[in-house]
Amino acid sequence: MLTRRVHRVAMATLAVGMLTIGSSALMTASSAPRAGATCGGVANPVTITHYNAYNTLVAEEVAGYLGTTCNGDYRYTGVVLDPVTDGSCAYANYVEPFAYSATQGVSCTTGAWSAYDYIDSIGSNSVLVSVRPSYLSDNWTTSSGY
Amino acid sequence: MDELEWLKENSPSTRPSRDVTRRHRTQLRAAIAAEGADGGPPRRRRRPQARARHRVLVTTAVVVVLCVIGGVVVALTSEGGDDGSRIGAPAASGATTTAPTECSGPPPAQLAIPSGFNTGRAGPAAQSRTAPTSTQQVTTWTSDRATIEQRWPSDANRRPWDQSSLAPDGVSGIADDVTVDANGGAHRTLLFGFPNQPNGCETLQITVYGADAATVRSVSDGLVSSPFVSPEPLVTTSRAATAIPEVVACEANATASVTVDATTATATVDGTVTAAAFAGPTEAFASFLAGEPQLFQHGYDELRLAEGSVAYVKQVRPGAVVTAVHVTAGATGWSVHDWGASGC
Repeated sequence: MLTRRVHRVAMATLAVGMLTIGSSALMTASSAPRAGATCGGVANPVTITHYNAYNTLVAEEVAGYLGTTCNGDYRYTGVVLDPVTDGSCAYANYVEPFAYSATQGVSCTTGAWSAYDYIDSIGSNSVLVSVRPSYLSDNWTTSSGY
Repeated sequence: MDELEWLKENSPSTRPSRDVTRRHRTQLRAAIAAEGADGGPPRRRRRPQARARHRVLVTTAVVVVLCVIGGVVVALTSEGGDDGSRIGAPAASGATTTAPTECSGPPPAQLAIPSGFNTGRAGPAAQSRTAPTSTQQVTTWTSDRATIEQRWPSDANRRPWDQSSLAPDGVSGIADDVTVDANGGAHRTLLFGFPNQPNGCETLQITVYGADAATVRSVSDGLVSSPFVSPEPLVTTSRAATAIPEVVACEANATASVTVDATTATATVDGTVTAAAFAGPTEAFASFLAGEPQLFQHGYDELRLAEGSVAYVKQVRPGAVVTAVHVTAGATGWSVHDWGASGC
């Protein structure tokens, strides 16, 4: 009888512990600050940039056509700039975790802006964005409200 | 005595004897004890088990309530993050429940202050509406048209990165749009994320204040393009060479990527220059670069060619020359003669 009681208490404690950890993780994830990116929310266009290790600007992305993007309609229009002659294009990469990953925008002429679209049909109005040349790693930031 | 009379006299008493009663009690106790050992549910033992279940339920409820309360507290203390709010918007108050982060030493990069600004002073900008914490390093530069304020680390609600989200081979930037304030002034905040910093020290915060949006945009755009003093010198190596290496074509012309192939690309660019003469080749090269902002401004290899001219080449990786500038000596001095570069 005592063994069964101890077992039940242990199971209850384990369940409570898992519930605690799960809810804490959920709360932490939902409340962690997220980076603003191409749209830092509705009506909040922002610029994202990438610099090399010597602080030279090597890729830049800006919300384009203000007033018609970052307006919460799930359709984003942006422009990407290849600002420096480094032999690489500048790429705007997009990731919907576990669902979608692609290069949406690219500029392959130094000093030229190139426009692109991202129409989100997956989940919420939020996506991870990175702008970079081919020889550097992605630095992901969150764009939302586009 | 007939049979009936015998039975009447020898019938079992309706009241058991003391011995029988004692024996029955002993048997009953043994049976009860046996039932308990078998784990059966004797009625009298329900009460303690129900109490144990009650305790577990109450404990679970208490923990769940504590989780919810803790989550709400965490969410409230995290409010003011840039999710859904303007990155450059001033916080409502300088107070924060997040423990201040103290970052030792100077900021991870030296801000490239535009010409026209003073040498800087410690402390926040007069226009700032968010008081820094005692552990933030704050410097302000002022000109007759704008003010630049630097905070390191950034305000607690302006930290979009942590070390896990920053790749080690570059620096990230996020620039808010220009905000026009109620008093007619304007400001814009730029955030820069540096890898390989202690936790909480990843982000450098720059805010440009000015009398109008155009001024703030002009100054801040310059800082977005060239925010920091490069730690790399103009010329990093010097050696003899027999020829100027070929520059590589833009990668869009060398890869099979559909996305890239669908994009307009320029393989290489070049030009012949009639430029002023300088006392030395490096001065001529530096003067040329100042007029070509799309070319790397630092980190060139100097190649001393056999016929007496000098070439400056930039490689982004060994063997991948993306820029080559040829400097020759003339009667009046050194000048850039021709150059070539990748198209992207």
